[in-house]
Amino acid sequence: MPDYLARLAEGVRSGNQELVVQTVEEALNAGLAPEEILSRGLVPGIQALGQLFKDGQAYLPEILISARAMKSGTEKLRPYLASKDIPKKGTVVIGTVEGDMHDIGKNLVKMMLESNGYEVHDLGVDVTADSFARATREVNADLVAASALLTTTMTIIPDIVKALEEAGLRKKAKIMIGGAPITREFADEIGVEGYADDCASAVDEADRLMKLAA
Amino acid sequence: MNTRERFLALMNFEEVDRNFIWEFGYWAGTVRRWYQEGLPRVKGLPEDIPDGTGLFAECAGVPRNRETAPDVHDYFQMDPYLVRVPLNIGAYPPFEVKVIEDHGDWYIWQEWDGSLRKELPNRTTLPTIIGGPVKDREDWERYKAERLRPSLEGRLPDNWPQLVAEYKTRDYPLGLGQLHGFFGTPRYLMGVENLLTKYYDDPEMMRDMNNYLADFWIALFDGVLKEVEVDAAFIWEDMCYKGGPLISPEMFREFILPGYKKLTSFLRDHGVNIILVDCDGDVWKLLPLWIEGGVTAVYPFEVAAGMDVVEVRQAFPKLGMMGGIDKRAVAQGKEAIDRELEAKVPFMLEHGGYIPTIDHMVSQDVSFANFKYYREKLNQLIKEHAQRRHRG
Repeated sequence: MPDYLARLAEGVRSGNQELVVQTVEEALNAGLAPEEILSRGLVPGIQALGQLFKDGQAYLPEILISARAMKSGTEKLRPYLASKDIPKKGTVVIGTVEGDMHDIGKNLVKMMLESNGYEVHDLGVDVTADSFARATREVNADLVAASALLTTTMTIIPDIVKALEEAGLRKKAKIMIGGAPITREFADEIGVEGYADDCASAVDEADRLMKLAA
Repeated sequence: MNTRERFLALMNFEEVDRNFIWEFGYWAGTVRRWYQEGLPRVKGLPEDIPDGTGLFAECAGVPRNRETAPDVHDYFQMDPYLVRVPLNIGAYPPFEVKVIEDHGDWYIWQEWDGSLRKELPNRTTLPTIIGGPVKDREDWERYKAERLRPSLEGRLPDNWPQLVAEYKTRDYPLGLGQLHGFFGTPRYLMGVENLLTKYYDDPEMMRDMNNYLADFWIALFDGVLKEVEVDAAFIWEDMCYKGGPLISPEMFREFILPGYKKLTSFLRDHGVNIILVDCDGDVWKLLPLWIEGGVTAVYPFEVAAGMDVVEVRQAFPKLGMMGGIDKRAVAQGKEAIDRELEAKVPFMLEHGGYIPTIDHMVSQDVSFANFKYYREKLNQLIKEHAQRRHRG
């Protein structure tokens, strides 16, 4: 039997959308379980690409085509997975802070979190602190991920912390932040648990925060 | 030395009488804040300019259709502006500027170059480019034929003959180029995400785009250089973020570098030896490639993205530089300003080829008092360095 799982991982890693879709189909026809195709084929592919990105051997175009291939593969699997109880790593509410319209970094983090097993609720851009809190309550989020590109909009992040505190959600929901002017020191200063430098590190950071919460 | 002589000498690592009193720029909201805090309002700013508008200062050049901050320039007795030839090197005829989608608290509008920008109603922040007129090869062929014809017709202002006469006796540096580049312009045309994937999805189109833009700009510049002697050329990219370049150095080499080599070779052959790239973010990995592509200077070296002009000078002793002073330090106050300036400016002035300015537009969290302190301290360092050189 061909090694469908290795081919899937390589297809996702290299962003080969056609290969991924075709191999998912072949693997299903050959009788592989959809959960196995996802967890041992597609996910290792995106993880390998994430590692290459962290090592400086892959860049944003590679992340984009890889996430696109991953998405095509999971869409092909969706009808088979819908009836099954696939465990998710956690639920994330994500958005760009109020006054800031920049969403490339936020979109990349969303793609990588989704590809790595998180359920992500994207609030878009220019999201108020209250909207973050409201959505966190509505979806019972484990993590709140906020992005800011500007020195002037990063100052909004403490308002999100406050809004979650006032809504009584702060114990359950951990916060992680990122964006051009954001640093670990800033996160520490404002009492935020999580910080990520880039979209691949965001997955590691989300995993770390989920363990803290456990 | 006049401003032109000083610029040419400085960018060629030659002796100068003193360094420049120049800045990169300010957000309109910053200047409005400063008016409240003591900056004399003499010429003012047009009311209809949103706070998120970038106001270009001296070293960025006075580009086409861009606002400046004359009261800051005058109050701090800055040196005269570098001037850019008002040549449209983008879409002509321009697209209609109009709102495409109005969502109440945000909207999408079409800029004159055809790019689609998502923005807040009062434009208090930078817009984000979400797309443009080119989605595929057919669009690109049409765009080339309709908007990028290599002819000067309609691309220069009506008073061009007077400008040509004025340039002949100028005492300020004159530059070619606007906010366009071999990555920057394709981004206007396609939006960032589409552009980034297009390098994989249609590499032939991306090679053609690079080659066509080089030939197109050469044709336009050739027309101008027949009439005017130009001191410098500007290329705008903004293709890096704090994690480094958006694309790999290998991808840059394959898709971007050929255009640089072609354009800079033409410029050098026509006496334009100073070629500057404007790129925010962490540019370390692209510096050797730009230099290989004929670039002689880079700015503004964003400190928040990990750039340190002292380290760059040590690694690239003959690369011209502008910028590199951390805007966040200027926002913090006197101690931080002292630390920042003393750590960088004396070293950089001593090694030459550098013009000190804040590392991007001055943001609204910088008070007038802090900016004034920073500027006076920097002017003092420049003066002291010049005095030492004259004595020595």
